[in-house]
Amino acid sequence: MTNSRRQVPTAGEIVHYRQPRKLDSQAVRMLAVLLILILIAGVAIFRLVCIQMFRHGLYKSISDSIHLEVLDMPASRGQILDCRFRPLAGSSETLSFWACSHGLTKSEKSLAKKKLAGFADVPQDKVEEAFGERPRFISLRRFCDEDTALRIQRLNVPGIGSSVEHLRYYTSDCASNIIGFVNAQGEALEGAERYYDGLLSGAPGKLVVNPYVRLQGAPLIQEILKQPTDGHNVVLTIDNTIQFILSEHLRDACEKWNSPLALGVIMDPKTGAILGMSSYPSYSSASYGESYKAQMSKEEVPNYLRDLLEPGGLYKARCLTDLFEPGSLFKIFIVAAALDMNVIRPYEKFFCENGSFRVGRSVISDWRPFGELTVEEILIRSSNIGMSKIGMRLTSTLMHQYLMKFGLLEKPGLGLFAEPVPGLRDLSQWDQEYTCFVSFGQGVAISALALVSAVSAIANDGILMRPYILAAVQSSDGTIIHQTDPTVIRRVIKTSTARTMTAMMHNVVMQGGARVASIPGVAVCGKTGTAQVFDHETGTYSHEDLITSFIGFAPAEDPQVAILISVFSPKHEQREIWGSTVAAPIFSAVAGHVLAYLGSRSRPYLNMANNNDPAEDRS
Amino acid sequence: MKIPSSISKRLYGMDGVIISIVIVLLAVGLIMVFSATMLRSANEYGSACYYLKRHALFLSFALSIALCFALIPFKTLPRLSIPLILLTIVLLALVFVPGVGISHRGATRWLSFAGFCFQPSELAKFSLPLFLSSMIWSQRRKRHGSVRVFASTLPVVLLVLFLVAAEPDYGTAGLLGMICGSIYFVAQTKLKHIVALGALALPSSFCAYYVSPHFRKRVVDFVAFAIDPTNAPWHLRQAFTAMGSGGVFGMGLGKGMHKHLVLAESFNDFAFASLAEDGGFIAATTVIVLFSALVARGIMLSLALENYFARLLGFGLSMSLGIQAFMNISVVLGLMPTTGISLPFISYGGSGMLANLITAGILLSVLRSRVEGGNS
Repeated sequence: MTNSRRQVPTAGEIVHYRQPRKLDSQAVRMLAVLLILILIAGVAIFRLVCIQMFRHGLYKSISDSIHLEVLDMPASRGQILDCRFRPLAGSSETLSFWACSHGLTKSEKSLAKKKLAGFADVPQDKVEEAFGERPRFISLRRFCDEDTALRIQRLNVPGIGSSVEHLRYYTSDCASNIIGFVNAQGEALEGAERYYDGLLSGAPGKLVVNPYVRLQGAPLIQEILKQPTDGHNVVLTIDNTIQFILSEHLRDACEKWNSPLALGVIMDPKTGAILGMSSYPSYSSASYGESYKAQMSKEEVPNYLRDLLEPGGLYKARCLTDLFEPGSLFKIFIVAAALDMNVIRPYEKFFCENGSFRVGRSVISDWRPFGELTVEEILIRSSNIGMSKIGMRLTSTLMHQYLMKFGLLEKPGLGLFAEPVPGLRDLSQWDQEYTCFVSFGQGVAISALALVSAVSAIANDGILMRPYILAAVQSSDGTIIHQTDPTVIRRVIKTSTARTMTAMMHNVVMQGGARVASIPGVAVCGKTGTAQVFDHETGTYSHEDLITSFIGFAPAEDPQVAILISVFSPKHEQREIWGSTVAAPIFSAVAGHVLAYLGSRSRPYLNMANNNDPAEDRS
Repeated sequence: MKIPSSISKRLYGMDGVIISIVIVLLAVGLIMVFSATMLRSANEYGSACYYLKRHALFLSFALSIALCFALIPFKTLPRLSIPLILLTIVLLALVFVPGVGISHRGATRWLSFAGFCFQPSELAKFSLPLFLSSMIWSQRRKRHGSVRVFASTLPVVLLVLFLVAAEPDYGTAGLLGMICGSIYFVAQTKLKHIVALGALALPSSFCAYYVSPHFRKRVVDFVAFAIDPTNAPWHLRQAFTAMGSGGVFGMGLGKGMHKHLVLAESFNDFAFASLAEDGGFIAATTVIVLFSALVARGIMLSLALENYFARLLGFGLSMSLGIQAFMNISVVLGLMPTTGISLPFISYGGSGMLANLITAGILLSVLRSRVEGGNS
């Protein structure tokens, strides 16, 4: 107390006490209290340092884990293009609408229902469900086109939101087996879509949002961690027009010959590029589900094609996945091997035993008894006995070696589908009988692609090219970032052998039963094949089910296309079933169309092989 | 209209530093109230500014009332002390009258007045220091000793504290007790009396501890937390998460997410945590420094006053603001049990805002006595 002063103050009047300049005890107490408060402030700041600096990481991670979500930003899936850069499959950005009635008031719900009532673009039952009593989050409509999206947005309905989704569309129905499809969830399930998914899908971007804190529908925080990278475009060697021609003819063939399955491969023999590869029945990538259901309802198919009715059987590219006995068309590879090894000469004559030849426990027979035939005649008349003799002359070791060189004993390795290993016996188990069978294409199972690839080697002067279907990879901005160069696998036969074979195969078409395979003005080389189907249940060859094929290339002087057509189990009431009657005309039609489309000008082909008189023949 | 020269003189005589600090804190409060309420407001009222508008409305109303108080001539203040304390006691008592007092979450603290809820205990934050300083001053003028000082003031103080504690509002009771204690301490009473008074606080705390399960829970929670920091009560953990995620620079205005969704009382009692989340360590420290500066400025200016009453009142009002601020910040930082004291000038809330601005207004009037008193 400092008021040790005089001056008695009157009540209610304010009196100022003069204080000495030095700090009095009251001031000391006030400063002490102030010091305590400053100390508390210091403690508080220290506490803040601990919480906000030292433990910032911990609390930030807790907060982020509660409030933030990392979302994928969808990347646009790349296109699948044909060799002329026509889109076979592409993606378009569409809006998908959802409705969320969480947190909506009753009046908002009824307003939403009123606005959407009678609105054709949105299913009414979903509207009822979305804005009913219980709060819901449901998808209203996915993949809206621009107009529909605009119409829905203009309604300005509370509780309705949209998100960008990429819709996959397919422009070509005929290449579905190659392209495959992507399901509604965006998973690539089959074909090129699946195999090249890594290239096509791109990398989704990363977006950090706080989904729960929204002001007028927009999250407060929205930070793009990573921009999405759009997928690459995949350019296939497939030519959509060729593919269309092929699949149309295969369909016609199936209808005409009442066949459950037909397949065809068209290859550029000089590069190994697959120009077309199709099978019938096929499906549409755009509506793969319905196609599958339609297929399921079909009537019975032969036992050996049972998997056509199995789930997924429709989606297979059968030219890659199916092995079948090639039959007589296999003879060209054996003759080529024998000629190449010089174990036979083109005009050497073989006695064909008048139609019955015993090898081991088996009797080999011809479709018609033949006497002496030259090598070329053996091909033209398609004599099994003649071929057996050539095969025995070649020996099993060399035959195996040449089949290996033709690439017939390995998978073509496109990768699009699981390719089975060709079905042949191990060399150690080749007896004389089996060698004979192989020489006319029995007891072996080869895929269509492998056969076309091998015949391409003959067309390509004896050089086997690696078959390929990926022509190039194009980045989303259009630059080519990868181009597949045609790859030589190996030389299979000498150029001269290949030329001789070309001439012989030309004569097969000119003089054999396969004349129907010829194309006016174009020198066609080819060979028919009619194989019986081996029934695994009975262990015998079926007389009902045949696989009729035709393999060939054209034009002879400068082969542009190598084609295999196979029709499985054709049935016809009036016509006989042979490779020459069923497959050869299809070959002719397909090759004729394709060559016309390619603008191929045929030069005169001078056939150096001898001209035998044309005998009426079938194969 | 010409402003009378006496008023303009009073306006110019006010301390600019305190005014500036209060205005900065009020601005921070406006921003934080908006930042912390925009989502809630948009969700509840369809407009992000509902709470902000209300806050601004309270603010302008409170500012004008506070200005009136600031313009009261210093000499008049002692005459106001008795009516104000009587009004406080009457209003505090009215809270207990059924039908007049409004209960919320088990506590009857509010009076409804013209559509607004008013908390009478807020009134005590400035009426009690005013009463206390004027009483002590008059006692001292009569050269009465410590005992007489206590004897003449303590019954009223204890009555107010009891009424507040009975609401129950132990936080505010504690706050008022601390304000009064500091005034007694500075009033040069004997230290042993202060210690005795402190000793009186202990049994009353025990009493509260046993009477109120609510109070008990808060204390037990706090003790558990003090022993083991991982044991933090839920709301404190959320406050820490909010503050901690703010880091040094903060999440950015309005971007602190924890305060939007998880943090309870994010715009009143835990506004400091919202502030620390949005503005980070920098903003939080700035606010602490501003409050320290406010109290220091008030106390230092009071020190320089020659009038005993003015000194005591200036100190008491500065402490009223300072203790509230530091109690609130300490609670948010987990340094003391939850009290329910809001952060002056920043927290959302009408009567608190009004009381604190009136406190600041009276403080300005008191500190002006430096100028006024010179020629009186």
